[in-house]
Amino acid sequence: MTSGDTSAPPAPTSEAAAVPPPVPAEVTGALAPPMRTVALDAFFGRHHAVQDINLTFPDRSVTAIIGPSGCGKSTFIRTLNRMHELVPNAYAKGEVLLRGQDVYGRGADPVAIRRAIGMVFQRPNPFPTKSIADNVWAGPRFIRMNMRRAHREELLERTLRGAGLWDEVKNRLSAPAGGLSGGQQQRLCIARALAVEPDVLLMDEPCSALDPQSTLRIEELIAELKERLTIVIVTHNMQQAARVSDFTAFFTIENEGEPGRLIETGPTDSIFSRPANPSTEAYVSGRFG
Amino acid sequence: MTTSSAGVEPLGSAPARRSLRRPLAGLVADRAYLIVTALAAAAALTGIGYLIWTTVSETGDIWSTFGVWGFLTGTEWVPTPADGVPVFGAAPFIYGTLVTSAIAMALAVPLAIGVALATTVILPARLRAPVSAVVDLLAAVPSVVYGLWGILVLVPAARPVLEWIAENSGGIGAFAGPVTSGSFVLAGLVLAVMVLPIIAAISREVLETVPREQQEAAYALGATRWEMVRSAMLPWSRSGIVGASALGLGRAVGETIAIALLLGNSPVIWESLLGPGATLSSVIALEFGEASNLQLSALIALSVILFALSFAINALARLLVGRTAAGPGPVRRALAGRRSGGLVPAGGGPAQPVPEPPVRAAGLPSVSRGRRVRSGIAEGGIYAALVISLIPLGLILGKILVEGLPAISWSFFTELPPADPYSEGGISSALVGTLILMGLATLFSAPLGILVALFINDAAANGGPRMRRLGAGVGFVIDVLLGMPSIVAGLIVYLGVVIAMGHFSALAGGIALGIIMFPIVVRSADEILRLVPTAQKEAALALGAPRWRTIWSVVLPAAAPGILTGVMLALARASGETAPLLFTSLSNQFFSTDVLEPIAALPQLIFSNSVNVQTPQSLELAWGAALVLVAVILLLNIVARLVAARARPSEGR
Repeated sequence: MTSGDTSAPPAPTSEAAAVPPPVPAEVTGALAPPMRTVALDAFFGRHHAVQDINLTFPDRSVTAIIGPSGCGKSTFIRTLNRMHELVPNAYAKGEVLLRGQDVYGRGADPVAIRRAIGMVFQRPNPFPTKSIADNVWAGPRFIRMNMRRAHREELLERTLRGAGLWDEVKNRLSAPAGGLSGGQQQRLCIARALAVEPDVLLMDEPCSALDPQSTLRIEELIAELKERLTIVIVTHNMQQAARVSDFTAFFTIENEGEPGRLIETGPTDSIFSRPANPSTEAYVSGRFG
Repeated sequence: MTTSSAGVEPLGSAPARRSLRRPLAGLVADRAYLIVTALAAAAALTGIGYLIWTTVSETGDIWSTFGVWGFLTGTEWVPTPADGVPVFGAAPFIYGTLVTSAIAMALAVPLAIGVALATTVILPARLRAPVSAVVDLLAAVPSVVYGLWGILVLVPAARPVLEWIAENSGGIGAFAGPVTSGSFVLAGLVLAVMVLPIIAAISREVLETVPREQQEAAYALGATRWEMVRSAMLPWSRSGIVGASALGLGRAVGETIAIALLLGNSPVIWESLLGPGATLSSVIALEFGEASNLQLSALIALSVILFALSFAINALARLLVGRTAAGPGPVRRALAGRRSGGLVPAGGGPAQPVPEPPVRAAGLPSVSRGRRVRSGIAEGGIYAALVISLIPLGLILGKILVEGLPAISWSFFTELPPADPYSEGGISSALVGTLILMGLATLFSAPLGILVALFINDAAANGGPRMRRLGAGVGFVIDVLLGMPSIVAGLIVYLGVVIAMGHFSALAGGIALGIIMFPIVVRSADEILRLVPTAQKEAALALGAPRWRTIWSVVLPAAAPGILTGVMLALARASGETAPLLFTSLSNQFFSTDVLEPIAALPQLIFSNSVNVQTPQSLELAWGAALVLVAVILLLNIVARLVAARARPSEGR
């Protein structure tokens, strides 16, 4: 598969050829965008955190969500795979359409939806006592309990290669994940999310706890992953948004206590070079936030 | 204090040449701080060490008569035989202790884990706090109250069930009749009900430490709630839950009063579980009063065995768990290494044919039926564990209220217990006695305990390598004392203090309860001191404050509420103890406030009014006293929690 090639150039070609692309053909038909939101609102009890978000995430692209602290970026991204509602009293209104189907609709099951929409968090959160391999297998084990051994090990290698971690850990797959460095842990978390073969990957400030070297690795990885996935990334770092994303959405909050709103969205270069809205311009040029 | 005069100079003026030596007074004060805390540790440990030594030296006769191995494995216990040659062997009591504890743990641990999971993740959020509060309350109910409930409620209720089992046991020896009023099964049941809330309460605290990120990691992979529990919460808290279970086991092994009430006193091995038996602690409590000479020596030897057994359980638990929460312990590490032995694939091998990833049908994915069913069954099991646990626990609380409330009146608090069991009376002497004992116990344990905690945590830890080893050694002894069964505390004080004074006294009772409180105070204070952020200490040290001043004006104020909470929880634990009082403060049928005389106490009053005599009047007195005792302990717990809650925001974690 493609990412196997890029992360390890001399990889045997037979292997790469044997691995089919993870996203099935009929859903990549690029007719319906993989995900879009319609009039999405998010609440914490009485607090209205995010208001009226209409945003489309084009297929196999990276969409960056930027904005000042407290503008609801993280809350918004957590509504996309229904992680938001795990906070007591938190709820969302509106629609999140995954290939045309509402993830908040009747009969939609949050557990199943989170498999189709993976997530990587701000702080690396591998299961520290489980081995590296068991971390990768955690998701598949939820879904189909008895994978054949050969398939299991192939999946392990494929996802770790996909996350650019294979060469660093291939000799200690049974070591506890808690022993990895912060950057390695985060890439393990990406591998873990990839192992359930999601359509969409949400990344909530995935590099904010990492050093510049590790950040660079993750950004390279994002560029590889968008070949086959739709990625939504929340970031505080505008250079990062400019480097990794194809599209950018700018959120802001006008006054304390008001909900966060989507101000402007578009191709990343136009948002950064020719923003239409003055507050977007103020933010991207570093005048506030 | 002794800081230089730089502070009074105007800012910006050239500083005068300063001495870089520490002022002598600061040096002396730091030295004094180290010496005072070290002396406190030395005094506490030599005091308790002396008592333990006195106890062990009383057992010489038994070892020389029967030999160590002969006594440990001896199956006969005949104190007053026809032929005049008494025989003593410890095996029936070790057996009884292990069997009752095993029954209790087999029932309590799975239920307690279920209760802990229910109150952290499974129950609807608004029910978690009230259910947790009930469990915490039950964890604080003294064992004499469980014993009282067991003998008056459980024994009659369980009798038909046990008789049915005996009749239909089909000749299996373990379940053969006749059914007696005290039995292994009943004792194990009550022990289970007793340790369940303890294990559940601690396990809940452990489960609550599982970080949100870990739970979210599992949810984000598409785990159901049960799958999240299994993959994220249980592995994270496994060692803590093992530790909680070990603590519960320690309590079960050392439990005296409930067992003495519910097991009978019959030194047997391999007899029916529906018949009577005896444990190490129950035989000490039941026979100590009339024992003399060799029998006394044998009973003391049993207490030494009991202490050793508790120590072994603690040591084993620690070995299994490993001291750190993160890494797996040695046993798990060994298992993990073997399981994944063949996991590392041979490099460069031919690529395996890969099954295609499942083609996802258009439309929303769904959760398979099998997973739904499995998760549903697991959550159902957790709910079932909660309900099964809350029924007996609810019955106990209800019974205390229903039977205790009618006894309460003004005169109940002002009158003395009646001289004969057919008259009504009050609990004035016992209530005052309990308060005096609590005061004495706090006096003996709290100041010393805090100084010892400072020694372990700060004074020794910042000294040289020898000092650090000494601190670690003291910490180890504290952990050993933490596992000391309360009846052993009573016995060593009897031998070291009561015998030396020549009579029972409130003072001796206070010392015994103080010995129970002391290691709890040290450990909780130690943990709180550890929570004070290093940055705060360093801020003070960087200003040039000497060590003792840093402790006095930065560390102790920050830790004070937490230390107070620890002392109050230790006090709540000690105030319900009955067994140690039987050997130390005894009782007093008159109103007494003299600390050098025997004194009455609530737990002891409950015990004697439900065991020695059982008349309607005495039972009413016992239930009323139980209600008052539970109320006192509840009050202590609530105040402790309020103190802790008020302090939390400033702690900054």
